[in-house]
Amino acid sequence: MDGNQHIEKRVLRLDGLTVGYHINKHTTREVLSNLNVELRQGELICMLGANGAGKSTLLRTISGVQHPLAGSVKINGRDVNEYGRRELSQLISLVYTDNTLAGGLTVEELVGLGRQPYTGFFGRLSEDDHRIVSEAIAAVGLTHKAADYVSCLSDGERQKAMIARALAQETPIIILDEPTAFLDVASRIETMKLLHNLAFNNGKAIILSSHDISQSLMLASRLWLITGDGQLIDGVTEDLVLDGALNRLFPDRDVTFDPTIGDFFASTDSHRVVKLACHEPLLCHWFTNALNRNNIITTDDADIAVEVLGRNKFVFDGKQITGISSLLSALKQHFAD
Amino acid sequence: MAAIVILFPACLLVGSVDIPLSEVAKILLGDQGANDIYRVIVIETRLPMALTAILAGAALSIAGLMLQTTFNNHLADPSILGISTGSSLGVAIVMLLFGGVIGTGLGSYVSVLTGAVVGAAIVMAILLAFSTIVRNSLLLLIIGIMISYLASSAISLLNFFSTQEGVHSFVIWGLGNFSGITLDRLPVFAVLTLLPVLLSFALCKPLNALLLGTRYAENLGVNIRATRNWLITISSLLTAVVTAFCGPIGFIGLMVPHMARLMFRTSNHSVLLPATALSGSVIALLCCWISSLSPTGTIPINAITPIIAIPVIVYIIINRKNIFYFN
Repeated sequence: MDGNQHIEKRVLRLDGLTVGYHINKHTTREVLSNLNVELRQGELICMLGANGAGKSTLLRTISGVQHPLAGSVKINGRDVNEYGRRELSQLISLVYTDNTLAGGLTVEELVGLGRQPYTGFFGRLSEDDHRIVSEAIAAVGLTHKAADYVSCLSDGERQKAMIARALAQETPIIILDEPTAFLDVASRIETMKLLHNLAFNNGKAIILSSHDISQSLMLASRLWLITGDGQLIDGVTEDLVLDGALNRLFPDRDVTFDPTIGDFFASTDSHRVVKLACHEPLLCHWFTNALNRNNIITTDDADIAVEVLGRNKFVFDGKQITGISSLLSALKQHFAD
Repeated sequence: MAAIVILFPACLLVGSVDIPLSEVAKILLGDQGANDIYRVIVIETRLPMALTAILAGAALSIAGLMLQTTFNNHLADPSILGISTGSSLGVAIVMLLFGGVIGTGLGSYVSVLTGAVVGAAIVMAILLAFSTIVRNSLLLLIIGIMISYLASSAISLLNFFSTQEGVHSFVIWGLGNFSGITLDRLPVFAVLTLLPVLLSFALCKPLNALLLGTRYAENLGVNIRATRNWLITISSLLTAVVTAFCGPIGFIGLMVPHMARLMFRTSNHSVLLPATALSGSVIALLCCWISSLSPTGTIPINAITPIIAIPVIVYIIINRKNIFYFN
C-alpha cells in the first residue's frame, strides 16, 4: 500500500466557518471565526491549542454534532448538516475519552458496534462484518485480546479498541478528541504511531486534538494551531516551527517554544548569563539544560564563559573543574558574589 | 429456565392450605378425579398468582435494564427515577380522592390502572422535557429522584386528608402482592406486559450503541431523541401496568439486570434482554413462593424484595472493582 495514491483527494473543507454558541436568541459567542482550511486523504492533522481555545467546539462542528454560526463544513463537496444520520455515520467516525458502560462487552463486540451504520434492524453481523471487525482489531494489534472484556484492558489498550471500533466503521475521516490524554508515555507513542500509520498507509484523513507537542511535531502531516485570539493557523509542521508560529499558541502565558528541542519551556528572564563553549551537540544540550534549571541563561555575548572539554571536564574562570555538580556550585558561588 | 421449571410448581404447592403434590399434578394435567376444593385453590388463586409473578418480574426487570442503559447509570430503576412513585400517586388519587374504599369490580381495576398509567406518563413527560434541557444522564437521574420525593409528599398529603378506609386499602396495595389478579383478568395483564417486553427486544441495536454513551451512539447513526423517547415510554408503561395490578414493587428493576449480567457474563443486549426477563421472572417467583410460605396468610412482596435484593446490591457495590462489567 502506498500513501501517495490517496493524497490528492480532498475530503473535507471548512468554508468561512465560524464556530461558537448561541447564548440566547440574539447574541452568540464566537469561538473561532472565518476558518478556511481543507483536509485530504492520507493526512494526519494534529490540532494544538490551550484549554478552552475551542478545539472541542471545532471538532463537534466538523462532525456535524453542533451547527456552525456561519460558513460551512463540506464533506466531499456537500454540507455536513445535509447528510442523513446514517450517511454521516459512514463518513466520520469519532473517538472520545468518555467513560462508557461498555466494560461488559468483549473487544470483538465493542469493535462490532462500529458496524452499526451498515447492519440491519437487530444489528446482526454478517460474515463480511465479522471479517472487517477482525481486520480492525488486527490493525490496532489487539488480536490476542479480541475475546477479552473491555474492562480487563489497560487504558492504552482500551483506546486502541476504540480506534479499532472507528476503523470498523469504515469512514474516510476519523476525528479524535485528545486520544492520548490519560495514557502513559509508551501508550501515547504507540497510539500516535498507529494513527500515523492509518493515515499514511490506509489513506484515512485523521484530525486529532492533543496536548502532546513533541509527538504531534514528529508525526503530523500538518498542524492546526488554535491561537488564543480565535484564529486557526494551518501549515506543514516544519514551516510553522521555523516561522515561530508555535509561540502564538500561548501568547499571554509564561512559556516559550524552543525550536531546537521542539517543545515548550518556562520562559526565563534571568540576568545570570554565561557563554557555553561546547562542540558535542549531546553534551551541549544537556549542560544547557542544567544551567537553565539553575536560572542561568546561555548566550554568545556573555562576559563569562564555560568551556566543555568532555563529559566530566569543564573550564570556568580559568580553573579546571571535574563533574557537573562542582561546576554548578562554582557558578552559584560566582553569581552570589 | 431450569429455575422457572422448579419454582413454578413450588409456588403452586405452598399456601395456607396444604395440597399434596399429587393433587396439584392431577389438577394441572386436567384429571377429573382431583379434589374440587383443591382445584379451585390451585386454578383460581395459585396459578394466576404464579403467572402474575412471572410476568411482573420480567416487566420490572426489563424496565430497570432499559433505564440503566438509557441513563448510563447502573443505579437507575423505575422507583429511583420516580416513575413508580408517579404511578403510585396516580393510584393514590384514584383510591383516596375518588373512591375511598376500592371495590373489587372491573370498574375499579380500570380506574386504578388508568391512575397508574397517567401518573407514570406525567413523570415520564417531565423527565422527557428535562432531557431536552439537561443532557447529562446523572443530573437527569437526580431530577427523577426529586420528582419521586415530590410525588411521595403528595401521597402523604392525600393520605393525611383521606378517610381511614381509603388509607387502609392504599397501604395494603402499597405493600405489593401478586395475588390481586384473577384468572379472567390475567390475559389483559399478560398482553399489557408482554407487548412492551417484546418491543424492548426490538431496541436491542440502539441499546447496545448507548452502552458507549450518547455521543458515540449518535456517531453510530442512532437517533438519540427518538430512541430515548421509546425507551422511556416502554419502561414507564411496564412500570405503570405492574404498579397498578401489583402495587409499587421495589428493587427488582434495580437488582435483576445486575444478576443477569453476572450470570450471563455480558452487557450485550441481544443476550441481556431475554436473560433479564427470565431472571426477573425467577426472582419474582422466588418472592412469590416465600410470600406463600406463611400458614397464616400472604406476606407482602415488598417485605421480601429488599431482603433478597439488598445483599446482592451491596455485594455488587463492594466488589465493583472485580466485577467484569464495571470499567
